[in-house]
Amino acid sequence: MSTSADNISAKHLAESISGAQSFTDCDFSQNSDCGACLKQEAAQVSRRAFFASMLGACAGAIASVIGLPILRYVLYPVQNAAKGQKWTLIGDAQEFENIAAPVTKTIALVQRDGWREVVSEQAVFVTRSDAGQLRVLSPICPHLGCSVSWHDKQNKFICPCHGGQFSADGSRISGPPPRGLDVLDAEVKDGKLQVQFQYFKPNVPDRQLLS
Amino acid sequence: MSNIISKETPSDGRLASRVLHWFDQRTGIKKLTATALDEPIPGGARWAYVFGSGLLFIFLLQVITGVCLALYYTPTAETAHTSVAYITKQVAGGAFLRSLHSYGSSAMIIVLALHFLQTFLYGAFKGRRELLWMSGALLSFLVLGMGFTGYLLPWDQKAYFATAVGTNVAGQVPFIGSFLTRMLRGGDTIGTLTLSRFYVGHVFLIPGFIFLFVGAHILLFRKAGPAGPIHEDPVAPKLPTEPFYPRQVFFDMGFALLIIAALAGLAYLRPVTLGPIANPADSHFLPRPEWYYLPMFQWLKYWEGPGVIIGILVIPGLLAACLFLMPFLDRRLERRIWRRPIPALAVTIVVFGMVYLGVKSQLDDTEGSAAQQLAQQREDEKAFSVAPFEPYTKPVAATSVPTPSAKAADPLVAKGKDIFSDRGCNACHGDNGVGTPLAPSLTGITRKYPQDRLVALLHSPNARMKAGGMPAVDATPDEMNALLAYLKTLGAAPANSAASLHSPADAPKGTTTLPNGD
Repeated sequence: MSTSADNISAKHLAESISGAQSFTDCDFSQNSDCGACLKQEAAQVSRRAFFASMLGACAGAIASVIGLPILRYVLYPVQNAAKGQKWTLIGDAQEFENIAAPVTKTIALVQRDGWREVVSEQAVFVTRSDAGQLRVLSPICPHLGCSVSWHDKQNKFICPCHGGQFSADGSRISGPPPRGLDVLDAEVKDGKLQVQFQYFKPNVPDRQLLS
Repeated sequence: MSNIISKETPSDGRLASRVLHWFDQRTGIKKLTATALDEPIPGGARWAYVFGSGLLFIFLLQVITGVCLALYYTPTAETAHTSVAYITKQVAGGAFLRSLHSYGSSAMIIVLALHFLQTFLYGAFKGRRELLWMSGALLSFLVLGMGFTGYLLPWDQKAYFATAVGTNVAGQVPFIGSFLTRMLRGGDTIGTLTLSRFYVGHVFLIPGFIFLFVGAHILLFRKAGPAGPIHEDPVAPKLPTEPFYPRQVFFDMGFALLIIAALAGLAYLRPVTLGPIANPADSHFLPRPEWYYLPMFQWLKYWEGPGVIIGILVIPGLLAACLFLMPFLDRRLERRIWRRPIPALAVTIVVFGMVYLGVKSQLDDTEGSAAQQLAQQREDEKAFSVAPFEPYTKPVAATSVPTPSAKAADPLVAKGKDIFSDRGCNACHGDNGVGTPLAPSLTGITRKYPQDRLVALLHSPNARMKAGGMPAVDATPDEMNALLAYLKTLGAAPANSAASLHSPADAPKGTTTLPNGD
């Protein structure tokens, strides 16, 4: 049975959503009582808007039930990138007690890459600060990222790419690098020297952590 | 305020309506929406008609959650299980979305059964609706195919062994059986190629066909029109009609809400588990398929010997054919189920038979040693599900390139090698000059350029080299000779390093990208 509710047909849906209304329902040629016609039209518009908003609310509820978990799911690696930093063993602290010049050590760096763990080799320099504290330096030149090497004869670190020079404690001597070699977080625990290997933004005057 | 004006330009000047108008003039979207929503339903909207759109809703849900799972999943035997464990145990919302996908497949089967029963009981497939019904039957088979292929992808114990059984069943087909099994598996055994095949089927092929046949199903449905209630004439409906919008849309929306509430509630309260990684050597594991394959699983127990072909091929094949050809078998226009005793009886027998087989299969598993083993398997699965995530690690292998001792034996080469590393050439060009993302490989460089040209380039790099960060090499002629001697050995086999036996044509193309001078 066709009821008045049925008259609120689909061709009105798009209009009620957009707010645009046409007056094609009022046939002016046959209906001279324009006021009553417009009143009926207004009542239908409000019912239409109600139906549309009800449907919209239901669709919104469904979208949020799956949309919010999907958002967290997709953004997970973006938000958890910095987590999972681990201490990496360099060696016995004793080994470095009497070093006169920086020592190159190769560490096995364990990095999480999504669901896999990648073990890569990475060189670090073990040296001493002015105050005599053990210090671990990243070999990555803070200029453009080449690997610096220690030159015993000249008693300094030299970057092979653009000739940046650093003293034994890592501070900048000359050349294009805007800062000294990056000092890595290190600690001696149970007699073992450990380091947190991290990457820093190149070519800026201050040490900025990357990821 | 004439009709013409109101059609040409929106009566109020709001931006949204003007944009919609602009869009409509180019796409006809309003007419399309109206056609979709004004579909006349003879006899009016009913709750009984919600199952078709319910299936469409679940399919879209499966597509969305499936795309999410594919974001972290990898289809290789080595890594599939770890990536699913990562999704389940690590990624925020991962357990929920995977559970939604897994329960969604069950919901698909349930709603499919309801859609089938409603259409059958109402005789809604009658009256020029043969193609409509057959496209639906094809869709049912495709959905079962989705269940079968998707079950293997987590690569846990039950996935592996259920697929072993499933693909063995295909092997019972006469003449082409063993070929079929090898075709499905991509070889004699279930391995990484099987996983690739099932993945491609589950993610590309079958969904593609489902999209195709859903389109055909809806198109054919709109052509034939809704059949209406059971007394209605299916060819020329006589009852007053009611448009699809708004009441039927509300019923459909209500059903969709019910589905999502049930699925989300289940996924949240009872997230699906993941068993230990597939271990083909485990001879004790008792495979069990998903619940909707249990009737078939039980059915196969009753057939052995030469008659097995009847059990696994002839009878299921006949049933599938009857389902597919239903409109040609039950072809009178009579829709009332009580006037169609033979089809009614046949469907009742099949439905009750399947329910019986499914229940029997469950009951059989509650007794004896099988019950113990299955309980053990459930325990193992639970234990693995709550255990912390273990990342995948590459099996240990020699990764560093060994330095051929023959090269070091030549003192000039050894000196050149020292210069190469002291000057930090290896920082960009890599150890042994193999190349890195920062700078090209140097293998074969001495064959590509004459010696004097190479020395000149090293002393003063050209513009492109400088742009890449290549510094001028400040070296004495002796040092330069040593460096060139070392460069000559790069990439050559140790035995050949003394005398270059390679002709220039042997140099791998593209490995040397030192630019020509200009």
